[in-house]
Amino acid sequence: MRVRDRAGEIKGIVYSHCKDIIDGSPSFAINESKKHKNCGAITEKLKLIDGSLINFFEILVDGEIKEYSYEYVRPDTGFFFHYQNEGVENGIRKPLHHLHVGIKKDANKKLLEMLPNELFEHNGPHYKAPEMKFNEFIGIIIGNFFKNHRNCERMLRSLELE
Amino acid sequence: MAAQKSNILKKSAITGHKIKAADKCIPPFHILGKKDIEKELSNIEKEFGMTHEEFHKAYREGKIHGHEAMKLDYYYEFYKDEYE
Repeated sequence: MRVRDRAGEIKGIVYSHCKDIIDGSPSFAINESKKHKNCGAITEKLKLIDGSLINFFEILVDGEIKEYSYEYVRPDTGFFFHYQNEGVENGIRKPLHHLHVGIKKDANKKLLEMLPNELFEHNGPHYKAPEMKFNEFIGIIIGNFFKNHRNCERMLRSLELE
Repeated sequence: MAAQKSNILKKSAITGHKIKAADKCIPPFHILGKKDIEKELSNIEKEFGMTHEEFHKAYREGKIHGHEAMKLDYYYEFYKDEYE
């Protein structure tokens, strides 16, 4: 698959199934290698209607998703969760597909002082996770943070998650 | 390139069925060139206070984590491979 074709798929998910919760019109930035066919990356910062953010990044090699980083951030509290495959693994210490959950460093200082260090940024474990698909990732966000949205069920069905 | 309203049917990545594009204007992709990637890499010093090489080493040694770090390290390697 070409990098721009994969980017088109992601755009399709965003604009066709999740447009109700997206703020603005994300374009997605892509870079495609001229030396290596079907190699490159896709990135975008998606703003949601409640002020939260999705940071999206995928690396394609030979037309396949080799690495990914899907991060959800709530700037009001600093809460984030982050599914990743960085292409390297170190047994159970760092599984290939893993999850981070915590609070961003630029959250309220008083809040950060009360939290255990393990919840600060990526200081906690690399929790072993299943390989995450982007439609599942955005479905987690819709199902948990937009559960009262009038189109929540419709969005989850269209993402083939219900 | 200006954003365009699209009335063409697009395929859902999930179902494969054709669906009408959203009424929201869908802007074109932004294709990152050499200067765009240089601009991204300039964030390494701003955000991590390191040279590019120090950052790359620290990231590969697992001393730096996170979405932004992963992205910047990829751009670092891509730039070296593609442009140097």
